[in-house]
Amino acid sequence: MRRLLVCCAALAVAEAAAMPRCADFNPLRNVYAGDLHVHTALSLDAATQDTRARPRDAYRFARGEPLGIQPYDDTGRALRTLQLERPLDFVAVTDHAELLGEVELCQTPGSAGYESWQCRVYRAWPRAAYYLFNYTASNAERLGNCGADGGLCREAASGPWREIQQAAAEANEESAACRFSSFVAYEWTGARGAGENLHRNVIFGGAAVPRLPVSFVDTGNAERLWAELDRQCTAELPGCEWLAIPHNANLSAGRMFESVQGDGRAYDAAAAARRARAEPLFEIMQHKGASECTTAPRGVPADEYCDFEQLPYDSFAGQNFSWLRRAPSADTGLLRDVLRTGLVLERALGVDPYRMGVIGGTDTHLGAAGAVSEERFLGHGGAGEPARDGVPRGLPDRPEFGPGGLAMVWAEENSREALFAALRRRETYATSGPRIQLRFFGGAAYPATLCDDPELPSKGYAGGVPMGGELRGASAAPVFVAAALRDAVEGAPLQQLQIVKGWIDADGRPGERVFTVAGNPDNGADVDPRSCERQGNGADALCAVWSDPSWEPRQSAWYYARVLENPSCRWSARVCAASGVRCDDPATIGKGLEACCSAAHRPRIQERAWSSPIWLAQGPDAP
Amino acid sequence: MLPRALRYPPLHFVLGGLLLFVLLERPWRAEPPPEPVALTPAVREQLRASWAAATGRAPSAGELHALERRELDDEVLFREALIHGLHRRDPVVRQRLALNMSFLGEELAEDEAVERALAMDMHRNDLVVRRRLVQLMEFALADGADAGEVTRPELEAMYAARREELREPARWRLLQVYFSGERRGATAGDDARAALSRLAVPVADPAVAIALGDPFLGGHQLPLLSATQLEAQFGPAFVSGLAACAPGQWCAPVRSSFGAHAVLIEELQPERLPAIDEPDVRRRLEADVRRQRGERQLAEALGRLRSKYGVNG
Repeated sequence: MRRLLVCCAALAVAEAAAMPRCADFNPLRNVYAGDLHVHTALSLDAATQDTRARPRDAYRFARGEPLGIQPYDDTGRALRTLQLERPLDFVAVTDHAELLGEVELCQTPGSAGYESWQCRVYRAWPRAAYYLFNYTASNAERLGNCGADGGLCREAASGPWREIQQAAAEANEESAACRFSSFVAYEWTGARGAGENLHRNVIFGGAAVPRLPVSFVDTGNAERLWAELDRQCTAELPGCEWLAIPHNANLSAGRMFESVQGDGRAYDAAAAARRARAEPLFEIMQHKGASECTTAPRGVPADEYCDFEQLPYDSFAGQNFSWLRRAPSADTGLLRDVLRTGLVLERALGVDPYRMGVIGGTDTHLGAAGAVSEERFLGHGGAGEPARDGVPRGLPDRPEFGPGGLAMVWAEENSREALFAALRRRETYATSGPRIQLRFFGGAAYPATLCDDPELPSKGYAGGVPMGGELRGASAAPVFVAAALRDAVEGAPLQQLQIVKGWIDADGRPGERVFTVAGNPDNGADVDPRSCERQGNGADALCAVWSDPSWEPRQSAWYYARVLENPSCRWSARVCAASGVRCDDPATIGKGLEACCSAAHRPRIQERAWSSPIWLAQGPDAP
Repeated sequence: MLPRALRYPPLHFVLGGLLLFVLLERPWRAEPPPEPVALTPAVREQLRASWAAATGRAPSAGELHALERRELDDEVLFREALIHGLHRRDPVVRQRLALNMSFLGEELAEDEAVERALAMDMHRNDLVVRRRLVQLMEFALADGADAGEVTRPELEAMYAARREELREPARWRLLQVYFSGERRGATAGDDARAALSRLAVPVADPAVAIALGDPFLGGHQLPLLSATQLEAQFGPAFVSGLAACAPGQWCAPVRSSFGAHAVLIEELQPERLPAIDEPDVRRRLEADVRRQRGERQLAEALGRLRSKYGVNG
């Protein structure tokens, strides 16, 4: 008989079912769409381009209100506005901590504490004060204990960090209506060497948060970030919970996920476990490209869908300086390589530091949370080209950028608690924009008829684990059920449903394979980039029950589902088409539209969703 | 001979200090007015040009005036920030200046790098530094305004102003039987209608009802959802179709992006305006009142600074 030790899923369902608060409570979980990567005017790289949206405006936008976009007229009214066709369910505003003013209390004349002796010390001898403050913080309640609801902290902190907390508190619906959840969050903007990106978004589970965000300036590397958060949040603040989501591995030149720790030390089991706990998710797509995989040399030549929305460089230095430009490669640190490295480390240590689910986001610097439509991309408005330059007359941003993706979360209800628990257990997936629904379960023995069973979700949970889960000690090939439903409002029909598998065998040899399990990759669907007219048919729903034919005993593996839409017009092609560009007639190629006809321009996009993986781990008796 | 007390050395010290203070500081002099803030023609031209670049047209007189006014306000706040020494103390500014110096190839300790940068007037021209200092001053000027109790009249005024936003939309709890357009083609709607004869109220066993149709990944027993939420899952046609259905009765066909449905509205919570004293409402209104106070305090402070620097409102 097939035997798998199935953990977690059933338990988690039972646990959450005990405390419904919201009208939409569903023990089999609803899917919620959100954005955990949003900048506002509190990020200086946004403000210097005249973004005026504050955290509160970003939340209101996410809930469906219109948002003003620069430039502004004589009455201070924005000349452009943007409004979501469908509101989001949850958002975290993630302004850069490094620009929030970590020591606001001592820096703002007239604020309480400005004239205190501690602040005088701080201003005169900042270095001494750093030690003094940290010593004080670790010993005294005054700086540490914010109370369960974080109320005391809200009093103590001031300026931008307080504004961020207030905006999140206000946006978070606490009545049973549960239409919207927010998270207090910020971005830790770390880098190494020549612009090798190490950025993380730090998301807090509730209102209890450290007095000030722990920034890259304070910490210098990710290990110290987690240590500080463990100390200031987990250890010293009742009710404080956090997790970090690394983003833009595609710009990290391999530095974000290495086979050693970020500070150069080798992993041991404890360090691996801490990393896995600190960073349960990987942001796979946003304005600055996708980070799934590459077909470049030593990449994944067998997967033709790999180079999706890929940037032509692998670091910020490469973005800004052509002589430092290096194309992404197998060691850039894209998702698949990282997951594989995780399996190798798990073999050696018994713990996988890179056990990460996937999530999408925008990284908007306009406060435009979740504005992922290809139809109206107004640009990144941050580290990219300024959104205010040349909007009506050309492409609003660098042609390789895009409107980013969405964070999709399976949770019992739309509350902070339920969503945060889902982020923790990695029951998430990412889309490149459309609201495709995607379920993915793995277990010992799902019936072949499960796709025709209206009780698919309950049987999925009962017979195994959902996306993000782990199967241990398989003695036979595991069975997966993947099911997808196209976006009900916009987007193209579905073309195909795939399961991507990566493994290392008993001898440690790695492998990777993509299985198309439903739909038809050769359905002939296409789009005419000149008119953006779609051609060909696709599916509303795709579903498959699939048993892994390549399974071998003592294999460690991960599996994730990927569903692709039929091709449609990319945002840039829509601007080109709307501007009347015809590449065979130079007279139609206006100023700022040159990229429409460059060899590098990608007029088509195959929108998609990626599930978090399900891992097949070797039992505790494995070597 | 001087009186004994006048020969007391500490007194000489104090008197000497007083004399020096008077000579050097001349406290009877009024504080000199600050140099007025005005825009140079070059800055004006820059504002005009960046507007033109963003909109493709020249700004109107009113628009230009607004741009200039904002620029003047920024300059006023920037000057005030310098008076308070924020440019020397703020870690973000310091970091930025030190970074700029390192780009110039200067390997200096931070303190020295910052001083050198300031001596070069780098802080006046760096956009990030400028923006940061302006933002710090805005926070400083609004600081403390949100303290104190929110009064009942303030709360009621805010409640009146935010009424439409606070309104909670209607919500439906549904049981739906799905007839796939993909599987059944044009007959999906007829199939849904035909199923009505086999669907009764009360529903003895939802599973039996659901089994009359096709499986639907989005679920058959839906929790309380608003029109917006239903539309996101089923498409706009579904919500308009639902309007024709009476609660407590099976209704078909209701069209969606995916085919047709037989729908039973098990519960309909009508739209409502929550009362002012519901905790979630009160909390949000109070936050609004406090923010409004901060905005007012900032505007007043800015008004005072404008006259200090000779800027006409």
